[in-house]
Amino acid sequence: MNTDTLIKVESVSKKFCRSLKRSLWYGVQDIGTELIGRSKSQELRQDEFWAVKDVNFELRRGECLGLVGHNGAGKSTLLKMLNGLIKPDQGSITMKGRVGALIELGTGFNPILTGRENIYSNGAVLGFTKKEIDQKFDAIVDFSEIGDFLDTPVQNYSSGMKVRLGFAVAAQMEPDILLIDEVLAVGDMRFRLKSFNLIDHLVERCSVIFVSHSMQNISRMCNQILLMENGREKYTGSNVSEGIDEYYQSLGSGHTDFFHSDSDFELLKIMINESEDELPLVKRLDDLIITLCIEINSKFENTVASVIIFDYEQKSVGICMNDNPINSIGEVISRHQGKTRIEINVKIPRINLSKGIYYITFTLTETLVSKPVTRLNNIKTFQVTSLYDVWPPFELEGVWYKKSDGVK
Amino acid sequence: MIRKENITVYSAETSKHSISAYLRDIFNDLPQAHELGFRLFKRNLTALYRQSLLGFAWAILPPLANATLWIVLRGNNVISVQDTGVPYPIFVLTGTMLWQVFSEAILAPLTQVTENKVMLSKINIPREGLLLSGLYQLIFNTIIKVLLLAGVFFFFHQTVELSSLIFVPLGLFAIGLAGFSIGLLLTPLGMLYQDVNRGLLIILPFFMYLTPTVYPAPQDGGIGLIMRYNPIAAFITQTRNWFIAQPVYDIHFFWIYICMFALIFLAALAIYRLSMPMIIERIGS
Repeated sequence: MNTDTLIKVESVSKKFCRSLKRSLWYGVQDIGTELIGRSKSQELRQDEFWAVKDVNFELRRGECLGLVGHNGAGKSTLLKMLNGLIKPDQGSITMKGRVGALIELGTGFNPILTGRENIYSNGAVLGFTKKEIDQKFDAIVDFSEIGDFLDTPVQNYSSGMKVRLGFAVAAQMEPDILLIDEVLAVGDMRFRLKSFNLIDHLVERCSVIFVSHSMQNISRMCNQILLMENGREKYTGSNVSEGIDEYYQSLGSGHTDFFHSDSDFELLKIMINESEDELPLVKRLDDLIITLCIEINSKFENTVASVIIFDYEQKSVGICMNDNPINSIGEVISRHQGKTRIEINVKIPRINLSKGIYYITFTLTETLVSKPVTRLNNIKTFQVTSLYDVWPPFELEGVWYKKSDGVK
Repeated sequence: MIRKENITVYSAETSKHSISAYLRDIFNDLPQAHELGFRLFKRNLTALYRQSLLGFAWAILPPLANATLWIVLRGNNVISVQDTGVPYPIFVLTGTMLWQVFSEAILAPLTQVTENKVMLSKINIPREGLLLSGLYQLIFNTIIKVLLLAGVFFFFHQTVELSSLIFVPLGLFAIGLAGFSIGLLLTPLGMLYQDVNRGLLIILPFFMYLTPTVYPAPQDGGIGLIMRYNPIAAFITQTRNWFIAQPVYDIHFFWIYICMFALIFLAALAIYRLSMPMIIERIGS
């Protein structure tokens, strides 16, 4: 397989305007200057900012670039320029071959028309000729799994069905360059897997740019990463795991603390491995020690405690609990006016979480199986560092051996 | 997706400086644009008539209603219109039909791009396809109108000369070209500012009465002068004369105006092509 460079982005920048009214007027001015053949000014006008600034990268066939960053970092703008929807204000983009975009599914659908008719409209929008769609029609219907609904108006479809149909048409593209923007996040689990498989298949023979907020998907698919922050490149390279680390660090502990106290419960202090840092780092396979200092209504002294760990996408990955009451496992510091102050330590040895950001939620329950008396969500964030970048939540320790060596 | 292994460069620098370069690009994209435009046209048509009881009648109802009003007014001597040489219903119906062709043509480009704003800002489509879709719809509606006129002619035993069959399409082409060119020229601005569309909706009816649609063109006086130099008046009068086999009155102006609108059309097409990326970034979706 030839591995020629298909995408070349050279110091590309794009300005946007914050005020709509001004933006429209600048638009008129820009068209005017373009018409009389003068070059546009490079300076920012009032209310303008660089949505994308000085971005450079190259991508070869067979490579997949993960484009990550916060909302508003400039990912979509860059994608729009790559797709040829808007022009760069500085620099240039060279694209070699056919470009396919999985950005908006089902464009050109008319709700009144049937699925069958809409396959043709959507196909035309994506650049297929009628003949091509005729040939691919069965494959599209198969992939979409809409079955008997083929001749039903699309307005009667469930949203999942619409997306499936849109994806099925788009999946028929045979691009050299594929741009994907988060569309995989929709649909049910089974369809998602199917879509992923298809994209895996496409990736082999094209250059892919993949925009996602799911680091799991990024690390699963990409061998290049571009982290954007405020329109600029913050990290570019083939070390995807380093890029993901940077991404997590730039997030910080942004969305912790919903509430830390109510009348019966107050969190006074929380530490991880003796550190009160905003975002403590824990090396994989080190011990994770959580220290909590709480003040509770004395009537809850006999409750039991659990620590639940959530990953960055708020999926719970583990729980650590103890069926002894907190006043026996923790150290009672004081009892005062019906309130008890307790310090609790819990050590989770050799933590084998894979790299990423995790959150701690703390709950108190009367018994291990009853409903929580109190629950503190996301009271602490920590980051696990590791050599490898893997997408499952655990990087399990295993012993790999030959039978002839005897079981270790 | 017809292109194979070609290289596309998007650059801040303007690489083309001539209208002809843009027009060449548009010409090269024409097959894809047609594929999209025709599909969208069919889609819109199917959807429109599936959700309508009167269906195709909507292509002729507006001018028919307008013409009826004038026929009633004149029949009751509320207004007086000088002799038109043919039965007044034929005269007024032909006039309003032709005017309707013009006014649909002027609104077609802007309507199409506005309706497909989301598509424009999300997917890299051959953008001229939207214009073609509007054009096909215009042609379709015009054919229906002509068929209706034929019915009315038949009803009034109005004879049609053989030469009409050649010249009427030319006249319709001229009217369509004039409307489409003006509409296309206004489209970039109209996508940014809604004022254009609103303004058109006010100006068009007003302009209709400055054009001899419901009365014959006066030969002299201020109005006569305006009519003489109003290209749309020339087109409509001329085309109607061809329809009802009346003498042709000033064919030179007709040709001059056609050439003028052809040039406007080409320029507007190039401007459309060049300004689209700049508009898309401003309108978003």
